Amino acid sequence: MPAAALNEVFAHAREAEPEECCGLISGDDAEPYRHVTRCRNDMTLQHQRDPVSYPRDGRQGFYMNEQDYLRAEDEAEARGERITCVYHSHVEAGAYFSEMDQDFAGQALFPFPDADHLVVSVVGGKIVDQAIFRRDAAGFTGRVVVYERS
Amino acid sequence: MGVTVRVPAALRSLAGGRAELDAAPGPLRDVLDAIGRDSPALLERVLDAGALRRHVNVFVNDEDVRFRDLLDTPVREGDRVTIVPAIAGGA
Repeated sequence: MPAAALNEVFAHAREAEPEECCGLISGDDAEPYRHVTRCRNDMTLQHQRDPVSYPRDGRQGFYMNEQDYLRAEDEAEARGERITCVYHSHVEAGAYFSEMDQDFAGQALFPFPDADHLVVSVVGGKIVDQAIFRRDAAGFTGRVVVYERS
Repeated sequence: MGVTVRVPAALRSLAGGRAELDAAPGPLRDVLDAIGRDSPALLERVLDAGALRRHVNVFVNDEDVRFRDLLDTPVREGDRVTIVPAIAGGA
């Protein structure tokens, strides 16, 4: 992943702390991680509206604002790109793909079934780890993010 | 003018590749029924046993119908219905 894209995700994660951040990365075959779009995390709002369905707030979860992600998808399409990566942060927790992450990303209607999932760990206000996950026949497999300095 | 139903990119293959579908105004249930007659596979992904599936949201204009009257939410002439699968997760 290009350092520019990763640094933008890191900046978003640090700014959103103590809440989780979320967003989308788009690109094409030649440059799959070209454009980072920040999306609002509505998990605290969802929790306030419906604490039974959403027992967590934004400190321990993310709920990507629908209007933001639809707009990001439209803008990517207009540029001739597709959504290649969904990213979010974990605050005071590791860069793993949690059960909740898998529950949503594995649903039949997940809008970007072929996208990677980038998880960034923020501890004490600093980025301490990041990993990228992709769905395959065995489920979601994680790997270390490789920087490509541009 | 009727009602426009926006289909997100990931679901367009279930609607013959179309980004938008047209329907007549009425309760959301009737609008979705009309969509189901045209694109049954799409409706199957939205409803389960006559209720909205978990993780699938439907907006009438900018309002999430879960916070209005669910499938009884009125959809009026010129309104825009959007089917939006939820993207969420967390530590």
